[in-house]
Amino acid sequence: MRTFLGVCAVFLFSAAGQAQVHRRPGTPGMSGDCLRCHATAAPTRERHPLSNCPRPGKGRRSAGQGPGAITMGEISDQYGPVTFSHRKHADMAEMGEGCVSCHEDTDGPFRKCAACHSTSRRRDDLSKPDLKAALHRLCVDCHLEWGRSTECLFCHAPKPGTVRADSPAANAFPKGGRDGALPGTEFAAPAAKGFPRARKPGRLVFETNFEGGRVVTFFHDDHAERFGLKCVDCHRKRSCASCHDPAKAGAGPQAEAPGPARKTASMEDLHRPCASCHADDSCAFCHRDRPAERFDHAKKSGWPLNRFHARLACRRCHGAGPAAPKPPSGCDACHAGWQAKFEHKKTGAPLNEAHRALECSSCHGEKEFSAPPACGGCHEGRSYPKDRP
Amino acid sequence: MDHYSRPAPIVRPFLTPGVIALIVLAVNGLVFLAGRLLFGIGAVTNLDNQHPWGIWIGLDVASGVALAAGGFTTAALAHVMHREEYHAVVRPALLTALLGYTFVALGVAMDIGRWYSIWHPLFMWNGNSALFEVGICVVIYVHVLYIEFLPAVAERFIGRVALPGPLARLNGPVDAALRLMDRGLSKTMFVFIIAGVVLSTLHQSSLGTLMVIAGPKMHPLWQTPILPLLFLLSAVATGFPMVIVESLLASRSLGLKPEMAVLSRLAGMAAALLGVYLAFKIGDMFVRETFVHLRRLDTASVMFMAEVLLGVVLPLRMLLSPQVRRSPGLLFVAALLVVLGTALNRVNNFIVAYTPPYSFRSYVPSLGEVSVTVGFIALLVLVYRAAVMIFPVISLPDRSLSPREKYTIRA
Amino acid sequence: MQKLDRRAFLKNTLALAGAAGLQAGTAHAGPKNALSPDRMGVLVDTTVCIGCRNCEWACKTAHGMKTPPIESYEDRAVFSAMRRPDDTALTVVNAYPNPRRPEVPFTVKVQCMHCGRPACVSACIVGALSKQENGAVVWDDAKCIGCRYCMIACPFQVPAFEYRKAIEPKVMKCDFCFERRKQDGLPACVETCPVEALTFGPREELVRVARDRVKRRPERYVSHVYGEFEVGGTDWLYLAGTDFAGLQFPKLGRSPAPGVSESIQHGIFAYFVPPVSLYALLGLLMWIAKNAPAEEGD
Repeated sequence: MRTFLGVCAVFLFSAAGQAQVHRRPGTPGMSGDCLRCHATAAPTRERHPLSNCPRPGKGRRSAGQGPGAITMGEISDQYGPVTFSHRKHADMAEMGEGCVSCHEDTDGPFRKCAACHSTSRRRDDLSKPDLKAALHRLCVDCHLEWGRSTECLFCHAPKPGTVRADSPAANAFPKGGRDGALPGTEFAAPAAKGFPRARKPGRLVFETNFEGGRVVTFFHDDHAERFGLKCVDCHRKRSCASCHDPAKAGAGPQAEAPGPARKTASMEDLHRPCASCHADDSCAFCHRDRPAERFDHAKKSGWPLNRFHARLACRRCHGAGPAAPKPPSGCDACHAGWQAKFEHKKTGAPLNEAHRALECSSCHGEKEFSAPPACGGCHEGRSYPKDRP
Repeated sequence: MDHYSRPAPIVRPFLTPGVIALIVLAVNGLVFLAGRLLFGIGAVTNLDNQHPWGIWIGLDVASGVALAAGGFTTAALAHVMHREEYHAVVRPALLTALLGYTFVALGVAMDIGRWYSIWHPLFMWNGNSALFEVGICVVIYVHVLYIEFLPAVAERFIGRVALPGPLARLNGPVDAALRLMDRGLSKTMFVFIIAGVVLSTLHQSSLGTLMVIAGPKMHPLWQTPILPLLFLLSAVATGFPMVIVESLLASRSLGLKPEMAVLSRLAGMAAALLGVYLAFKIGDMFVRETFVHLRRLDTASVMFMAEVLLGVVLPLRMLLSPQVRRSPGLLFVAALLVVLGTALNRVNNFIVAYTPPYSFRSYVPSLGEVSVTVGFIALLVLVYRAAVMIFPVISLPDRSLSPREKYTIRA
Repeated sequence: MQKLDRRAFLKNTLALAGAAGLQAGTAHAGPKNALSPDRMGVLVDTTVCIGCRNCEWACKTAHGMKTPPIESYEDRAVFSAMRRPDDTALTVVNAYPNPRRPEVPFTVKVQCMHCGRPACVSACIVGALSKQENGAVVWDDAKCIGCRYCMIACPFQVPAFEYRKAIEPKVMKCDFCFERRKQDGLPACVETCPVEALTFGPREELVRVARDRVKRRPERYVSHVYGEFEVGGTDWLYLAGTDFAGLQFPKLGRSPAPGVSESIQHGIFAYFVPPVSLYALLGLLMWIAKNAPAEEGD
């Protein structure tokens, strides 16, 4: 009760002041801790970004919990309906503004768009767009940015009877059409329609103005593929086109020069993506005088990785986190019972009875399977592959 | 009226090499005109949506109207001010004005997209439109000019009506009608003469108002709210120089002694009028501080300087000198400079000054436009020549008629 | 030749007399120039426009003009050159660089601005252009003579002429879908716009909406509602994310488009007082000049 009164007092004062704080801080499920829901500690009416989509009364909700594919077609007149891959968009939206990048940021469950936006263009309240415009604005803003195109048939099915053989949409869904898509099914190959795959840079070299080391080298591929980071772990508030950009897709890893945004960003903002892992590292860990060399497992650990092991995420052997324990060195640690299942003839060299009884190390040396087997230990003057075991 | 007789028709062979050249130019113009009538304005001209008006308006119409100002200035001088000594120049100036306005009307008809609808303004009025006023005034003024010319027709035909063939029996009634008309006109002519002066004042100034509505699309060197006044003043100042040019050309080609007594007095008045025009032009430039645009060397500043220096200042200086006013050659040059200066002013106002906000290319008149303009001028000269041979227009001295000389008179 | 001349003179005299008689009977003083306070307008938000050019297609379709299929309008290559409305298109969309988002250029639809006090209506020699109560500035095929003075007068250089037609060439410009709106329809471009970059409504309401948008999103808009005051106010209004000069909007003052030309015109013709006075003055002069020297008259 006391809390309630306090909240009421805060509400009254702030409302009398500039009505900056949330209109209903006392909503069930909303404690005084703004950060529980919001991405900022001081949300205002104008700026109140939510952190990863909390819904009061429903708890946090991930993008994946939303509907899969939605078919929208009630107000479509010139074209057929649109099948919208909601989950895919919601996933990606986490790198942008989250759910509120499309959904009106209101208390309680999201409302239907048509609850506020008129379905008629002829209306009295001109302060907000009609439904058709409101929906189109949501889509086109990004689609235009990465697609440089306003092609209607990219999203819309052609109106029945108006399909032209050469229209891209006519070929985009060869089987069943969009209406046949079930909720949750994902589109087979958006890239086929011209959707640019995400740009995946390799090594990025940033020039900074830090005295102790002006050059920061960032191995984007290592972080994304080896270290097991998801895009959203680092990328927030980014537009689709910052990664899915046809104009930049072919560009090399060095193409991304520090943009004006990066130049003006605060030091805190600049370091945030790295800080979660590198919090304990010294500045010099990243800031060097010259571009750094790529991490070489053989050089650092004295253990060259064969082409299969080189593809593994680090944590597969080292566990999570940079402070990795010494990884197990025996094959059995990972490939338990491999010897029982292993058939040597799959390597292309079937073993005869005598050889089958031998230990691996008799011919292959200390775990060095890529080198030719040594026959000379037993057979004078024999060698593989001239002579077969 | 000292040694000049009354005006008389000139008796000469019509065809001369010069006339044949004019006929060729006229036919060439008519060929392009046929192209315009068959395939549209765009087929012959370089006009586009950014440049809706070209030389057919800027030269044929605007300059044509200005150069025909001799008609009303001499009428005002000789008839309103009742200065008998100038009567000798009235009829040639009247004929020039009459033909000038007729060709202005023709030029307008060919420039508008629907030439067959040219009568619309008579019935569909827009009192706010400067163009409407120009149109109505010109229509009425053309008729006034024809009426003013009727005495010359009556003079030519009274007692000499000879209709061919079966119409011959109408000779009597026509003659009677002509006499009646002549009598009636001699009593009422003052109405038309004053109307002519008033109408000219109105439409000469309204021609200036035309471009005021273009607002910022017109170069500030020319765009001014006193454009109508400047147009009127320059037209008035051009009237006498035009008469001087015409008279000197006529006397030269007819081998007559130039009537310098009359002409130098006209020149003196022209100088005064030109001075007034220059004062307003320069005054306007300083009031609106547009001289800043002269600091940059571009088409506009060069054309403006040419118009003011060569078309006004230089001839004004010349006309102020009694020596120039006495010498036929120098007077001709000075008067011609005024005439060309005013023509250039009209072209500047309607074409050079007009800078549309979205221009893809600048306007340069096409071969077709130039051909039609030249063709119209050639036609005008030809009709003028024919007219002075039929009607009593040019006053000849009693004795010094020299039929050997061939002559051409340019309008 | 002589006969012809005489006939021409007679005909002219008769024509003048006839014209004078008819004028008094049938002519009316000027075109309709209504400035209704509840006239409609359109607010064009260039920051919302996506440059799909569906409006171009819809406009041509609604006006029965020739047009390629709507799919061909997706071609954004046309943006490489600036275009203006002409006799084949009453509205066109142009693109201008957007420094903040280079991928998404500013796109600007161009058409007649439907001025409150239109220069073309003031200029037209026959009153073929008129301002209607519903805001539309419309052109009357039956009156136009093709003089193109409206094109000289228009501060936005919008009216276009069919230069390639010998007979009945038209002056063409956006008519605010005057015919469609008679049947209570929306302008074709407004109806088709997928993002409602074009908002149709009462002009006064649109000014409010526009000001509100600028106030709420100062980072998105420049604080200027183009057309609110330009040339005395236009019924089509524009919002932009960059200076309007950068979008090739002409910089215009607040005085109505006809400017001082109407004042001059009415000054010269104030109830015919100046011309009649001049006439009287000249008559007096003539009388004095004629009688003073007591010579023989004309």
